Amino acid sequence: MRFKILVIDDEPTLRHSLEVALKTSGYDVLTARTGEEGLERFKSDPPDLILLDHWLPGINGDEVLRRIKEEDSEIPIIIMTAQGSIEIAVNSMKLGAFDFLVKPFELDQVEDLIQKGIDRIRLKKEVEWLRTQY
Amino acid sequence: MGRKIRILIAEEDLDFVKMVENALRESGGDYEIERVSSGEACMKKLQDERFDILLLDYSLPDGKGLDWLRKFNESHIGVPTIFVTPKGDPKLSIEVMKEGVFDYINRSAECAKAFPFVVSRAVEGYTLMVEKVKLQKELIETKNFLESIVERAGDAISVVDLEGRILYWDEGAEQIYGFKKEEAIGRNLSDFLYPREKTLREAEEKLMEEIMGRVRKGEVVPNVEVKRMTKDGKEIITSMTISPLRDAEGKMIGASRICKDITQMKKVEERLLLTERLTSLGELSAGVAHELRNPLAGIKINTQVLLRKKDLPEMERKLLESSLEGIGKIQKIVDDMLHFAKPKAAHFKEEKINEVVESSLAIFQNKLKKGNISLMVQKSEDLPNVWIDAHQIQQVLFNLMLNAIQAMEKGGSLTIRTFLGNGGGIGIEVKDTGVGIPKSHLKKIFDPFFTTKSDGTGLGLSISLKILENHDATLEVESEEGKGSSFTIHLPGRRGDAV
Repeated sequence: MRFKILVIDDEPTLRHSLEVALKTSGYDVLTARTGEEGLERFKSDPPDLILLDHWLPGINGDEVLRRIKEEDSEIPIIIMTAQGSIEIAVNSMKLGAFDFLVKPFELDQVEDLIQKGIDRIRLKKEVEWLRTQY
Repeated sequence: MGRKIRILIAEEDLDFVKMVENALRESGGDYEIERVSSGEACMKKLQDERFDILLLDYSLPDGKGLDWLRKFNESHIGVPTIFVTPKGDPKLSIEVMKEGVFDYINRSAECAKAFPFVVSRAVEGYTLMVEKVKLQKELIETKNFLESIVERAGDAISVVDLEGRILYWDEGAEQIYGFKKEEAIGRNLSDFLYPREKTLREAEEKLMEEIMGRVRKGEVVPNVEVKRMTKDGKEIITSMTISPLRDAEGKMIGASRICKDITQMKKVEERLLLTERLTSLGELSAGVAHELRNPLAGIKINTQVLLRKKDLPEMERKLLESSLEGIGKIQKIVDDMLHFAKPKAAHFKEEKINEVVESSLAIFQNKLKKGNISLMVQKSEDLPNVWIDAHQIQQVLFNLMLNAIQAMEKGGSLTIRTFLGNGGGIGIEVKDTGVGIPKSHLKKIFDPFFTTKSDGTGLGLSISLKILENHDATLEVESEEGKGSSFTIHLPGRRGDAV
């Protein structure tokens, strides 16, 4: 089974590079340039995991995170930020982010985090399936 | 004089009185005359009323006129007196003049006729005398007043003649420049007050020439900033106001100069400007750094994706690795910029400064050894604890020590000294015997991105300064090219803390 990842970032270079990198690693990748576009994508074609830029034109990352969590509290969302302040990290965690990456990050780093997020989703799905067996 | 002139006549000889009265009437002046015939009555009148002139006879029924005159003087009756003397007694005339009478007349018909002239002369003379005394008093008061202002002004006030020789040198000048009156007066300012350094000196001479040119034209030149040298060789900046000085005829005889020592003020001003500049640069850096990180993130991932290809030719791999190295450098600059713009929130704790210094030294052992640099640590014991973010102060020390080590490429000695500063504060000095900082660079070393090193970001000192500002601490720099530099941190003492 291929997992689907949604990348929301207004920086085209990063959006494209993540798309290429993650596809190479065997994921399906969707991209969005803004928070609004990301929310639409999320609704029309629900992903398994989201990479979300914190600073976006229009509605910002925190707001996107909040709205997505309202719809699906289980989906892992990894926040990417170019500011790298503790405050942003703490705040995102409180809002339910899965983890936090400071740009520019290592390819290994982002892959590790995605793997962890996917593992958790898989685990949850297994638990749910097992529950239905009773 | 618009009002009546009141004349008191103390005279027994009624004929003479008549003649005097006639003469006064004929003169057409406005007089009011009263007459008494004894010294006693005269004294009483003088005490009760005010007269403009007293005509006093040399001989009265109750005593000699001269004796009565002395009595009046003793009782401080100040009335301009004209004395009537008998004909042909010049000795008496001289005696009464000594007693302070205004004038004397002989008891004769001719003199009685001339009396109005004597009166008007006396009135005028007396008025002038009173005026003179009053003016003298005012002058002394004004002089005292001005002197007290001048002497206590704290400003250096001096007067020079047209050749520039010092004529006057006040206490303020002694204090500001360190030269005593006796050392200054008569000498030429430019001989001992100008900076010794050639270019500075020439600049000052040119400036002063221009200013004196304006002063000679009668212009007051206010608040010029000039550089001066004190007796102990300290450079100071003064704000000087020069005004032309004229004698009573209005001829220019020199210039007065009021100088205020504004060195301290200038320092504060400069620090403030620097802070402002750093703040705006900080904001700019934060924005730029943020904008750089985004595309950089993409470039980094791209490069890493490519590097994973297993069958990559050697040259391509090398090129990609070098790109990655470049990305690493950019990342470091961006991190520094952001750190400079928004230093991490400080966590203040009570710390022992000697321990903080000690732990900062550890990382340098290797570098010191390799660089042939000897280390001297002079820790003052019994220092009070300080309220700092130890991690941040360590970072500052790290920056200062690294700079010091890099300044001593050919080896040297690094001295770290802690000491008790003024007001319970603590000082930490980092001193090297390296290349020193050129004067022209001294002002720029705290500017972000100012660097003379090929691999430096130019942010070390600006970040350090920012951290120290957060600690209410200051950083002082002394440096001499070819001899070395010294950076001294002054941490404030804890308020109300007497540990």
